[in-house]
Amino acid sequence: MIGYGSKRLLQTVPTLFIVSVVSFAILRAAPGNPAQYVAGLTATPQVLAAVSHRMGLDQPLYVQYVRWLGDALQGNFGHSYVSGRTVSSLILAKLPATIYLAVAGMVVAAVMGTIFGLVAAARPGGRVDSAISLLTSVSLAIPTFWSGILLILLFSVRLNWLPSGFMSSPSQGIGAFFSSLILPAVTLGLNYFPVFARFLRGGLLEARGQPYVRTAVSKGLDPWYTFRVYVLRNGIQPMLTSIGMVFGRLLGGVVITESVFSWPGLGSLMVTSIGNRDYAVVQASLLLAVLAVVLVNLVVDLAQAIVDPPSRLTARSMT
Amino acid sequence: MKMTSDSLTRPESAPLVDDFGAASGSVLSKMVAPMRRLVSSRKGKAAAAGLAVYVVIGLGWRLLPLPAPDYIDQTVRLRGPSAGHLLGTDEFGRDILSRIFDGIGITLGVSAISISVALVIGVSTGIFAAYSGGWVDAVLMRAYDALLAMPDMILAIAVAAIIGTGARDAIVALAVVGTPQFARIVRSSCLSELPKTYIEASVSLGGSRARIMFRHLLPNSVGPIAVQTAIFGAFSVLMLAGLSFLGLGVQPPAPSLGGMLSTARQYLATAPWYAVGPGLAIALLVLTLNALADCVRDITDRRGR
Amino acid sequence: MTAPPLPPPLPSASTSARETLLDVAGLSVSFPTPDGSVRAVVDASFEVGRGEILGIVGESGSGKTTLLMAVARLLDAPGVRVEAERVCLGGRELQALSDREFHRLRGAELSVVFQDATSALNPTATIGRQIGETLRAHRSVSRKAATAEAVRLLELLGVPDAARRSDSYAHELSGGLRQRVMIASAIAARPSLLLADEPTTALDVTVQAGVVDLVVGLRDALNMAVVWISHDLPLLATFADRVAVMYAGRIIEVGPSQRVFDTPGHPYTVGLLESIPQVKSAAGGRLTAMPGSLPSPTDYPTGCPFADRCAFRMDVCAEMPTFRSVAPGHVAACWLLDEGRDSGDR
Repeated sequence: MIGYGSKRLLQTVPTLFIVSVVSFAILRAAPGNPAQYVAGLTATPQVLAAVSHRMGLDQPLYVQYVRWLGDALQGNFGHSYVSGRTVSSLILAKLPATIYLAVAGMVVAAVMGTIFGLVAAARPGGRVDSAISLLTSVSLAIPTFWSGILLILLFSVRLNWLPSGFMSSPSQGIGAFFSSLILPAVTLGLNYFPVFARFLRGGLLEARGQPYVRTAVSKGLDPWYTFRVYVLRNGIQPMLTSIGMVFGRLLGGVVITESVFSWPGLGSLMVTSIGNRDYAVVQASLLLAVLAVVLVNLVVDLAQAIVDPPSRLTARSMT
Repeated sequence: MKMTSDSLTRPESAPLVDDFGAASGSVLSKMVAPMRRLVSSRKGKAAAAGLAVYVVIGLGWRLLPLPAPDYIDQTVRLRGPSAGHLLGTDEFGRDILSRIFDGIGITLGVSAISISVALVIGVSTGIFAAYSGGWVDAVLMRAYDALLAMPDMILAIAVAAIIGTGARDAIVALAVVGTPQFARIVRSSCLSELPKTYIEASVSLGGSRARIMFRHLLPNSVGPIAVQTAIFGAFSVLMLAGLSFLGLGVQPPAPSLGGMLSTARQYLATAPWYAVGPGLAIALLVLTLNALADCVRDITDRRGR
Repeated sequence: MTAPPLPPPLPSASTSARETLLDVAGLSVSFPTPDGSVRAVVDASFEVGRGEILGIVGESGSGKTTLLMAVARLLDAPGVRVEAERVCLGGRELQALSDREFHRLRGAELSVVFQDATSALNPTATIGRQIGETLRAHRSVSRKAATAEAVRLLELLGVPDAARRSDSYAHELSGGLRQRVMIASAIAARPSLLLADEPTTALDVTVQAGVVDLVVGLRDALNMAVVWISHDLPLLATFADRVAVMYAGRIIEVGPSQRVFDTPGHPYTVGLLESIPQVKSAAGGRLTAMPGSLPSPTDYPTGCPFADRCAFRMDVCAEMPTFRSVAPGHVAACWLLDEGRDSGDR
């Protein structure tokens, strides 16, 4: 178990390495001299040179990379070119909002996916199954921002039931916070539930056709027990495995959803920073996003290995 | 594999047939029959028709009697659907419908180019990696895996951050996202073909590397490549729209479906119809491409591969 | 509440002294395919006494598995049709039972052991649980007691280190052990009839012997009747009480297993025995194969199904032969045998 865990951990290293290189590239690819941003536009050439030297910009690139990496691992991502605040403080300020949204979105997607997957698998090939299949296809085709806009149109503008944007942080008013969380979370859920639904349906149907279900029947086991322990327990595997993949895509959706609903999270920060050429912030948020995905995948894999030893042995060829 | 004197003297352009009946040969020759089968099902017909409609619109909308998409008329800002403007006007008084059509054309163009780039680079590196094996394969795949580990939208945004915004840069961003996908698919397809006897035969007949790769491995990967093309097609449309929505893709004043939705968001209370058209255009295109992907997948599965 | 104690072993008895437990008459199974209606089982009739081991032998495609599954109501092919004059278990007509009523018999009166234990066991539940759940489904037994009984059964079935094993998963066990687990989970609730579909076919010969001993031991201890399907007649002859030979969906010969093995009555059975490679036969000797092959199940002939391949074919074989006596208690459906004795003596 420890062996598997450390093996999995090691597998993430190359990915993280390349991602860190890409992040560094973003920083350095910024046109213009970073020292200029720090020193200010009116700095004299001598001041500029001094700042450059202090920032280590006269060193060869790989040295700069190592320095940057060292700083990054300590949580020091430098300063925002725009606001002057440290990047880490900016990110930490915006992080909670994104976490709330991402978690809420995943929960909605998971719940919807589970419900639709179960219902579709109950009578495969039937009318309900076909309807759900159509629904998932449509949901996959609709861009996140469009569904968000349509939801706002219906529930905010027309019906005026829910707010169309961020209202208040939980500490300032939990009721208002939740009511403003509903629409964006539902938007995310609507767009990301199909993978869950399809994987659960597929997994359940495949489990149901397996010989061990026939064995359960032949022993006279209670049908509900059979469903729980034989069909569901085995059939839910693909869906659980897909959590990591869905989470990755969902993060992309979070960036967009934050824009639609004016949600003050990391996604909005990232987008505005790109617009402002505030590359220090951009690369830090990118790194964080990838780190989150890698982490979630790792946790899902390890949790599965603990809970369900046989799955550890089946080839994880999905990676 | 029976090595008759016949096969030794066979002209090099004749296809070899392996024990599974898969024929090597030109890529195009393998595509004709499946194409016909593609449109035989109802879904296939609908999908192909849908795509055709989009392509026709994208290429030929200028022939329609519509107002020019960049014609600004501040006197008719944000009007609803009317006789002169079938879907209303935008915040500059420009006709929404013609802008949508123009946007479709741009979307198709950007997608097509990025698919092509991703396909060419991804497929060739995938075949190369599969055939070379060893550390070449390992290094390439690790690099691609790292790219694949990043959520696609976020990767696209990152690339846009590095190289800038605009349609051309969006193409690069999309190609960066798509190349690893193609490479992976092609590589696994090739890996399952490599152990087959006809490859071994070709090697012993003295076939060059390039020859083996392109005359034998490639044609037998056409199926998965086709499926991936359709899938990535849908992907690229959505991602381009997303980038444009965020202001990182096609830049104004060029019309973009995502960009129009971004503006529509601001005027939602006063001009709700603005949001309907562009979104529907995107959704239907993606739906069509996904349906196409399903049909292609059905066909390639049925070939027993 | 603990499981009931095992009854004392019965002295071995001949067929006639045994009370009939399973009585099947005129069972036919057919299902539609694109190529026509497949008649998998045609008019099969047989009896199994309490505590008796009946072997059913035949080639692949002879219908033996389908016959078993039909009795166990486990056939789920679309459009399958099962018709029978009589399917009585312990005097009760099974065809009259609803699915729910029948389901209650499963595990408690009638249980099945399948051929491939690898995929027939739940990969995500411990084997102790899988054995115990059969018991808990039919008796009100606590989980602890069920687990204890599972361990006991594993020990009874010769599984070493049973207590630790009962917490392991199916994939951690060898083929032979898995089959023992399957058997244990099938009999945990002490059914009176066990239907076994080629339980040792997928196992090594050495492991095979162990499982056979196991089942015979269970029969002795529980007075459990066993229907054992195999393609291996010599094997069945070593431990089955009686054996029935199937060909092309029909039962063509029934009799005490040693008798059928020594003096087969039907030409097909003769051919079956002759075609088995003997270790003792001279090296370089040819294998005797039966000419021809099984008729297509969509197109069974109206007369004797073996006629086309039979060396002794006569004109009368165009008509389906009745069961004729080879010896007391041993019958075969072949015109070659003497007339006179009726087919009731099975």
